[in-house]
Amino acid sequence: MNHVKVEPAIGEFIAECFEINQRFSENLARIEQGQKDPEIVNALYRDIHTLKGSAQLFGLEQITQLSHAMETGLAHYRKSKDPIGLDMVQKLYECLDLLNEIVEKVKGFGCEHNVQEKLLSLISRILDENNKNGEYCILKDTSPILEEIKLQRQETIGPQVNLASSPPASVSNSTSIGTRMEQVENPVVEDSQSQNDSTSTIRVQVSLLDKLMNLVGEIVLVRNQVLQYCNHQDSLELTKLSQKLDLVTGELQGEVMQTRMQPIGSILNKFQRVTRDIAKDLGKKIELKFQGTETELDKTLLEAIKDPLTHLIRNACDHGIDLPEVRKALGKHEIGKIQVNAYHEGGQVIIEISDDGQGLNRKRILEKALEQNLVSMDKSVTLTDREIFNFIFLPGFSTTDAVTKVSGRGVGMDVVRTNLDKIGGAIELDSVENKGTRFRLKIPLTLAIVPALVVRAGKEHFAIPQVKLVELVQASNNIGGSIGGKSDSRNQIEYLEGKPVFRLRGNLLPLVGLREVLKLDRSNGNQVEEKGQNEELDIVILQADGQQFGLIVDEIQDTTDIVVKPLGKFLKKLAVYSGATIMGNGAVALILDVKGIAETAELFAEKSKNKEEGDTTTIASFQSDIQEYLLFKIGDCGKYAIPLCLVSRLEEFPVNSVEYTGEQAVIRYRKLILPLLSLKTFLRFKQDENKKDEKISVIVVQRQGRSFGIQVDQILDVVQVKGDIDDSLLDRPGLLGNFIFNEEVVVAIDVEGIIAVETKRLSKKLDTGELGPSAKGCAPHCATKRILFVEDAKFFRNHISKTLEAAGMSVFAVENGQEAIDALNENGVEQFSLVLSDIEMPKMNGYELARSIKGNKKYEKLPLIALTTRYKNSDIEEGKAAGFDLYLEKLNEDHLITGIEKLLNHRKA
Amino acid sequence: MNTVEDRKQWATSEKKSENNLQYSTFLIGDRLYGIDVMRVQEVTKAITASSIPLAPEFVHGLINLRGQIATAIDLRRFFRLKSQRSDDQLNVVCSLDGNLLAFLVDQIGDVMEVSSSCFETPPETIEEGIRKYMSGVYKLPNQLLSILDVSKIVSELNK
Repeated sequence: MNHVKVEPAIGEFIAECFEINQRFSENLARIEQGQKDPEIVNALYRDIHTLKGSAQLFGLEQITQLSHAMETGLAHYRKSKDPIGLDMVQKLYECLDLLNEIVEKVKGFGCEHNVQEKLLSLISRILDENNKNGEYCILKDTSPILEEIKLQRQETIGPQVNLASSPPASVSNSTSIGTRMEQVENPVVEDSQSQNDSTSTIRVQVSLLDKLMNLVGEIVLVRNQVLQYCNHQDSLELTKLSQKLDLVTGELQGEVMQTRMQPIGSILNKFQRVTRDIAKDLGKKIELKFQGTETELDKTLLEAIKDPLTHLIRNACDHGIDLPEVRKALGKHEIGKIQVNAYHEGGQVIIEISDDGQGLNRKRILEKALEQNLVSMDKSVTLTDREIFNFIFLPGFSTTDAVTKVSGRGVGMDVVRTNLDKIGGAIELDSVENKGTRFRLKIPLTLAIVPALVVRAGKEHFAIPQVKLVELVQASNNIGGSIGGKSDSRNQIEYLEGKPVFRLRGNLLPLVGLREVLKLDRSNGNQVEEKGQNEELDIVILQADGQQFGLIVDEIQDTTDIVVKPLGKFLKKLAVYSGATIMGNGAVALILDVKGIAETAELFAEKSKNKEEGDTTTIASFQSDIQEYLLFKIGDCGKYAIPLCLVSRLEEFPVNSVEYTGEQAVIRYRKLILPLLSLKTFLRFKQDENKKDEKISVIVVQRQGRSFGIQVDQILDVVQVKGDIDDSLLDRPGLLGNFIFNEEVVVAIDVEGIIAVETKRLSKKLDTGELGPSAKGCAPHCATKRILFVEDAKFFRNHISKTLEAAGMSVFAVENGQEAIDALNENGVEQFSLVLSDIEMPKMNGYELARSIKGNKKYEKLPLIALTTRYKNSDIEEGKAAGFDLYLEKLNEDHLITGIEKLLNHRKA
Repeated sequence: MNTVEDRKQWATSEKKSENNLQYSTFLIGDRLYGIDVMRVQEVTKAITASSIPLAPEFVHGLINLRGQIATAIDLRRFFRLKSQRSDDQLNVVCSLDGNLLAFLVDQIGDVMEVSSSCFETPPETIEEGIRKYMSGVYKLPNQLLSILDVSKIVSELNK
């Protein structure tokens, strides 16, 4: 690895390591000086625990091992509150040195270097210390001991330099101790390092390379423009110059792209180990072979395909390769082969993963698909092999009944395709029963510059990324014409129930006009009809989500390299575009998003409906722009609204029908007792004693299987509101936010919050309530998952907050248990739908937090999730005892999000 | 091309005072608007824009600004103004959060330095459609200068 690239996340981790290191050695120094505050030990323990967690996240084995050992070593002192002996301090210092050494290497080379021997000896010493726990130095007369340690230190530093297997880049790691004791030594060490490094490589920030890449993109565009201009000029000199420019630009583009390139072998090699382990587990014999490992790919892309590749290779091991006995019986070699080939083809990198295993079971997949209603019985007969195989890419689809350790949960292939989609790649698959399966990943060389086809619709030009392109065909139009008139119906557009379709080698392909999708000059009518009969139409066959369709365009122009520029944030909502680019003539062209077009044109409606049933509908209803609200008045000031989806009925009751149970106003309503909640009272508005209406308006709302009547002054209207509500201005609880309708500010009421508060108040008083179905498929703004996230490590706080926010939850992050309690007290428990907490924290740890939440009547209903890197059974027991509803790993983001959603949905039901 | 640097230099050489704010002014119809000069990246003459099918009506299109793509916003449509649109509209280009926005205006005015003493918040009678993007009004000797808050416009767009 010549180019040193530290990605931002690991950069953050490294920064945190140094921070922790610094703090750790400060704390050790305090112990050395004889301070006996147990909080110091706690701080040491917490720091090393955090470090362990982060290291685990990045798969840094050695750091994990070492910090785990240090944690175990410290655990004893933490529990027993014994003072830490000086020799233990010494050992911890040594550990810290080694830790620093490893981190420094991670920073420089992006991976850990082998210091296993030293690591193991240190770990055994630390653990040894833990075992003989009774013996420790009494803190007396420290100075001679300190002297001795100093000497020891010098000795240990010496050999370190010699032992280091790589150029002594590692030496500077002694800084943390070095600065403490041997400041003089440092500059020298530092110097030798920089001299060594600067001879062959220099370290450059990835962001700088990104900037360079952008600039090259600009130059490519300018070059394209210059070339186009030159085509219309006669000057020989200009032509010569432009050719030179063309040449240099091409070279520059190549070289700059090169700086970000890494051989694919760098990620493939780890799969050898994975395969061996899986094969051993499953009792199979598998040989994994690579070809083309030197094929290079942009670093970001390489990162992006790591997960898909892991899934595919694991799948090949688990589902693909059959057991040795079976293989023998089939006359195949006992050892199954998985071959991974990587090569360039047409400006893309192709990665093929093929196995010689059992192949996909077509019948089984089709059965499962029918079972899950993914396809109708009649249609299933006509499906091609490829269409059937494509079912395995759908979320939740798995033909394995038993979930094994390796695969079978039905998430893998779905993830593979989404990940590839994200980077503009594609996946194809072939399979022959008992012969094997082959996956073919098409990956763009780089994200910034992509080859594309330029097409025209109306006056505008559009670019279609080449990866999504299957083929181009021309067809004549057959509108209203007699089919018999032409002998060759294969090259004609035909109409099926009024929808244009095209026969491509025997398969019917749905067609859609680009102009219709984009609603360009709609007045001129159908794009297909507009062109005269028998006139040739250009059709671009595209692939989206494994399905093909034809896009009718007015003209197919050139293929060209385009530089993808993102659209403004507010244009990203237009699903049909994925970006914009500047064409050779200087005009701006939009880049079409093939998947978005298919969705906009509702080409695959049947399937997408099936896919989105269930939980996604709820998400869609609150993500969609337009929300319906019921508008009403309370008091004199302004208008109020609640989301219409919460309303089950509107009623008017005569005032005298209001009765009371205790102090609670109720109304007999359809043989039920309907509790009346007065918004005026709840929001603490002035009660208008003088005004006495004959009738009261009541909004009947169903929540948690019970009906509530919300009393308002006057019901006005149902309105559609676009966009989000603004929750920056809330002067009292029970409000959700404001939105503007007809130039008026309308206040949205947090019905769910109010009902939650009222139910608690009423639950003792009321024992009859309507047991209706709980409102389903209705997620108003108030259902937004608000999560109180408690975590002391800055890295995890940021990282997980971002993850949760990306999943559409809103996060309120605090640093420790005490702050969490404060947040609950200040904001009110109804502001949060869930508490997500780390275990190891200063001031108040996770267990204490859980106990104090569950111990408080006000909060006890709040779901609690423990989020941690400790997942020993005993820890889980302790967490459950403290009151956590769920125990989740920090490192598994998918589990985290599904876990939260499950818990919340469960609560709601 | 009339870059900010030029105009800023010009403005500072004219007169310099500490508290006064500088606004890049422009006309839409006969109405005078101003944007904080620091927000404005440049002003360009009319550039042909490629339209964006399916985009909201006030999005005029995308323009090529020396290799950068800017989204042109038709302020007249955005504010729902009724006045007739002139043929050669100029672009006032602002850069916000890495996005380039070009506002179409009829005429570009001077960079004005106005004293905060003649500032006033917009009266309630002004239509909400514009008022919510206005941060205030300056009473100039012979006319009124409405100050537009670009960030408010952007947050409305991003809604």
